[in-house]
Amino acid sequence: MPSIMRIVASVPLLFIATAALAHTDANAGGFLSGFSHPVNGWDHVVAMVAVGLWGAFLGNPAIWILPVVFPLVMAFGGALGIIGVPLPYVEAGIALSGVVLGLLIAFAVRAPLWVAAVIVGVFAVFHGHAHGTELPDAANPFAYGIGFVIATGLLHLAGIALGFLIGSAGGRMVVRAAGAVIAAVGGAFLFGIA
Amino acid sequence: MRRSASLALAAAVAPGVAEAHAFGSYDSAYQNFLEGAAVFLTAPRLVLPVLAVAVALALWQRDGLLKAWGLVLAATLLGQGLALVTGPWIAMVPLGLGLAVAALAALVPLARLGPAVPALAGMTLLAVTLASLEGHGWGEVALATRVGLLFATHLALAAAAGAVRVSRDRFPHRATDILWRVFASWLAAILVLYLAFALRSA
Repeated sequence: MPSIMRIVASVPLLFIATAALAHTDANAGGFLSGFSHPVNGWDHVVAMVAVGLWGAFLGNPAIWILPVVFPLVMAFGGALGIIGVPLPYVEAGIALSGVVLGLLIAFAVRAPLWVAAVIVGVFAVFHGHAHGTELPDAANPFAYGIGFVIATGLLHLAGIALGFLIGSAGGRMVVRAAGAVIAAVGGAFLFGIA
Repeated sequence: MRRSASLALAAAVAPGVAEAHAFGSYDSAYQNFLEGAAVFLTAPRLVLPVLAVAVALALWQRDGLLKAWGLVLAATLLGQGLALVTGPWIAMVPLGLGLAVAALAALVPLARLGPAVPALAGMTLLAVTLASLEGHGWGEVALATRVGLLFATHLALAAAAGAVRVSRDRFPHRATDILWRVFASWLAAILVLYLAFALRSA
């Protein structure tokens, strides 16, 4: 059969109903649950993008050390949340992370590596704790952990990719403007506007 | 500080979830072998620490696994012999050691640690083997099952370390090492969460 006819013959297959993908609780606490946790709130998303963005802005070795430190410490914070260790002002800490990291980028602050790592690490604990306490009881730890960490890493990568714009003068303006936006989003959460 | 240390110690010795595998006994040595292999390969709590060790050894030195393999093999054989004296508490130990190894691989240039790296690797593989055979004596588990477990453990170790080494040989850039250190940090993060879940279930 000519190839074009094969393609035409396959078209009706496109209309065959796919498997029902309506959300059930079957994946509660699984990979998708873990993957969606870091991206289900703008306060989380902007902070994690900011980590990658600030790391790219600071250059080597911060560009990879910060995205290494954040998931690790965030997982530690998540562990505290999972086992029920209380942490005060979690939501304020999360919102503040957006404000602080955003301002650091907006004002092009070049902190020493250890300072940057400490700042990122402190805020990572708050983020992780929030995720840990929100975890469903019937969680598959392996699948959840993989999804959680991959999503966090991808957000950092997005920030790093955006951070490569600093190679040009206009790009630096864009990056610093992004920092201002991040700070504004963080501030909106901090003052209860968002 | 003391309170934190006490809490950490209590958590470390708290009984873990009873995850002992009820080994079956088959007529065929091959089936027993497959069961032993499956015990390891189907348990992320055992596989993840071994992956961490593999990455660490390959980042430590180019021939890191080859240099440490004697020690690691001895550790797994020792684990096979000592498994009888372990209980549910052993479940947390490979997770904790794997976490330590992965965190070191992510954050520290391992070449600086010298012989500490293979020593940690040996301890981790010992713990993995003890956890795999938790509480089972020599007569309870078929020899072929033990061989399968040993084979699967070292296959995973060799495959992962080999992947790291091949990538570093083919792409001898600093970025390759960085990517593997990022991977190690992800392993550590997953192990932290896994450990937390295990503590919550205990």
